[in-house]
Amino acid sequence: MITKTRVLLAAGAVLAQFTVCASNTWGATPPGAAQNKAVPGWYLGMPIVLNARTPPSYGGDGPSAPSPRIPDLTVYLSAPINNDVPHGPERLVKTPRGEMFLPAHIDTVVCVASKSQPRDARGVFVVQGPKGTDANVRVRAMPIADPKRSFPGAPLVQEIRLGPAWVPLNNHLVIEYGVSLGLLKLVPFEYGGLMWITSFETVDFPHSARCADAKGRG
Amino acid sequence: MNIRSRVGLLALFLSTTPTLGLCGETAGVKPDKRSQSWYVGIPVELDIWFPRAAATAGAKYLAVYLTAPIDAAVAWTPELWIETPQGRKLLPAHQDTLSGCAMDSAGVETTGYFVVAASKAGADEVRVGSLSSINDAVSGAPLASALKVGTAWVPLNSHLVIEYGLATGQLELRRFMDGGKVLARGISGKMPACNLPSQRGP
Repeated sequence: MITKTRVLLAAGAVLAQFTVCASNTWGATPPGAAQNKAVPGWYLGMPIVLNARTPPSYGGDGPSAPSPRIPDLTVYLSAPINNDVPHGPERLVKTPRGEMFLPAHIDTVVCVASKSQPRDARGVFVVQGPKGTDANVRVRAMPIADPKRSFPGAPLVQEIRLGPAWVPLNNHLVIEYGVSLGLLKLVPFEYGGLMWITSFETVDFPHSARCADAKGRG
Repeated sequence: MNIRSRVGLLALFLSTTPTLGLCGETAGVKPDKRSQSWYVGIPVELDIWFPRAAATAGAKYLAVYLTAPIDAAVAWTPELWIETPQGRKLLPAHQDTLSGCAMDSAGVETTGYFVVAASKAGADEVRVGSLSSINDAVSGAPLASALKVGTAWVPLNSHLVIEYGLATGQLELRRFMDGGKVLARGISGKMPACNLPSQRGP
């Protein structure tokens, strides 16, 4: 797949258009029509806004590829917990390999990057790991029969069972815990542009949440 | 209040089946109680040593936030009457959320705080649990269970969420009492790194 197409697909996944409306899915973005984006996402189980300068091929004014001088910001793509939560809709995307399936997803970041120090967004799918079973991992079924036609190659995970409770995957600590336990597996996706986070509230997130303080995360 | 009843009372918020009697063990050996709690939205198992004497000077403390039950699957304490110096008081049904990992092998001292809606917070901002009598409640108000953040109701089973609500002015803390020493373990294995410290000491 050529870089430009890959970048475009990444931007489409992580930064799908944020539409405030009765529907809680983001509208599919017509090719070429996209601009820099602000979409709903999650941090530590709390809703936030992901802002990005998307790559030029996607219509934004961000870089076309990640920079070695800019730290990464991991963005986990997991399945929506329910349809009330704003999320990217499932849809087919044209690629050199043919039409590929992007599952419905929510985006969870690992730290809060500021507008003055945005980071290179890297999308990562969250799928069932080697120790995952029906008893400890809940996935969102994919509407296509052939998993090879989906980018992650497997359904995205909604929540995991930890001891007595089912815990939703809108918190990177939960996701990374699930990976360490073998319940979850990560599948790298694409570059999504330069990203920074804003909150719905006027008060900033705790100091320790800022990317500048989260050493080496990416 | 004599020592015996204080010990029982102090241990209540970390105890799902409250024991008002004195336990014979000394902190540092066999725990008095095994229970469950939350840390950053993840259930954890707790060993608990009830308080017996004043904590050593310079002891490490962490806050234990008492909220209305988030998830019935995790151990929680039902509403119950307790004896206090102010007479019989109602302890609301609650779950516990740790403000730190509490994985130091020596255990960590705790102070309990009730999490309630701030007076300026509307019913559309903070969800609270049930309480049969506000006038008798030792917390003075129903305990909060969830916070509206932007578009979503977020459960209060993470100190980071609770402290965010304190920062926005939607939540308030009311100091309860010291609860003894705790040691937390991940239920299924090693817990996430403790790299998100509490913003708020006891």
